[in-house]
Amino acid sequence: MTEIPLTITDAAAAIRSGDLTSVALTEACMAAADRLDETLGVYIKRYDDTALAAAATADAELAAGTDKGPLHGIPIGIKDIIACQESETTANSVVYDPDWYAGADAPVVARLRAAGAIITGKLTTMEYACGLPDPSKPYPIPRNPWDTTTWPGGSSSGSGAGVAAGLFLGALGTDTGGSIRMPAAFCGITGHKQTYGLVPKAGCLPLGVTLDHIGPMTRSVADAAAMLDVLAGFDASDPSMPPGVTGEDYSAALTGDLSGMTVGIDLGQFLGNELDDPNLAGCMEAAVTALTTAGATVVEVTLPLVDELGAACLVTAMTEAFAFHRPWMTERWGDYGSFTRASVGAGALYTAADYAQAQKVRRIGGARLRSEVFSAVDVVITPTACAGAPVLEGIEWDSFWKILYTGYWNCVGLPSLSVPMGFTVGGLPLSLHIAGPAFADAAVLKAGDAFQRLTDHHLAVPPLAATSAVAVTA
Amino acid sequence: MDAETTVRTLFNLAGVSPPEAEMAAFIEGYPATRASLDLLYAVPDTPLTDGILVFRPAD
Repeated sequence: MTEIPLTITDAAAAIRSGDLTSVALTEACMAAADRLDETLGVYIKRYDDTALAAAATADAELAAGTDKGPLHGIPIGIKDIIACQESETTANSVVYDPDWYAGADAPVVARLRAAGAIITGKLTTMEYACGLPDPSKPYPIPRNPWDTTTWPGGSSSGSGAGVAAGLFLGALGTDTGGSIRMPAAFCGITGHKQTYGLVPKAGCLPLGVTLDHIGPMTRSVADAAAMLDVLAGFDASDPSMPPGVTGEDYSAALTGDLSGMTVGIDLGQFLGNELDDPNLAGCMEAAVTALTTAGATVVEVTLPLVDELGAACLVTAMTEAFAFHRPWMTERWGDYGSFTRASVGAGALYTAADYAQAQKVRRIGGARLRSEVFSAVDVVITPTACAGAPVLEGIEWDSFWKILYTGYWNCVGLPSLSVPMGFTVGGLPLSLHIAGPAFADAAVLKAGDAFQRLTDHHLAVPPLAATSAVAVTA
Repeated sequence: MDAETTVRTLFNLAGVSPPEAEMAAFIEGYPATRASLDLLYAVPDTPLTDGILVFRPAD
């Protein structure tokens, strides 16, 4: 008998040592969902039957000596804007096309399956990765396992809450302005938004097509690297991918040794803001100490065009989203949630010139980052958000957008990682954000992994999930 | 053109008809939205910069 492993890495080792089977692990995750999902609102659709069948297959394959790697037999959840063959993709909306990608897997899901992952079901999202929880619509209200009166963040809400509460060991999220890293930060887990174009997006409903990313949400950076090892690389179905782009062995990059790495920190623009949690500065100071202990040199930098790229992110995302939704919005305005109407609908108010200008600012922002920042440092750290999860009651756009520092990096398409770094005065997770230059995902992950080798914030379990955990028998 | 006229005109051109309560919120928020967009035009060197969207005729 063993405890349910917290990480993919530990579960993979337990399966191979004979202490655990994929079936037992999958059943344990399903039992956790039975206990907690009514409270947390993680799942839109569970695939219990097919998941157990896939787990039995994984056990048989491993017993026969066929080892597909660290994801083999591991339960993984999928945000419900990404297509899975088992069921339709709702995007948490009553406005959707049930025939879209029907019966087919998105390339990212197919890659996970080929690596032996157990697909457990479809997870809650903000409506089309953009709205906010709306009780008037027929979908679960996602809640944060650290405090169920608060929001888990979004739009990958179920992915964040589910990993934190142990309903699966990893999940796919998507990120247009922070939708992987925000829920990762609010739920105290790890989330990685890779370099734009590194992971194929076909089979994923778009929000802002030039800003959208699909990426892993896990407890540890090592787990995220294991997923990215499988997810990265060219697929002809996605025209946004550089032709022939390949991934690399991200797991192999995780040495724990940051000797020779220079870390930039922007203290002037990302600390000392009026909305900062009182614990934020201390957490950032401790993070700098940990990175230095791992061998890095930390120097101050100033990120260029912070406000301008924030504005460019909004105009780009909402213009692209409105272009996608306009045919439905003209006919079915009231069927969308109120927050989706307010945000995507605002895309009608931007002009074509605004959109074109935003794309110029994005080009200049990327160039200035290369010449002014990444010419001198390997990665840049900031907080992911300056405060913890907002309360659900009365939540509105400004409840999270004003405390979040993620959209900047979508605008320039650069790899970004959120890792837990402590807690607010109210006991909610705070997280460190690590970003790097294009296709330096391995360096970003290496820095985050080194931080996690010296800290244990990523292994903290919400009391609600800890008290309901059960042991599993192989 | 004032905010109300602008917002109503843009929604009309888009073929979208929010109810009056929502229209009022869009109108109220429009000046701040416009101010943030105007930041984009103040960034140096943008006139002669190519945007990130690149047209490839062979695609």
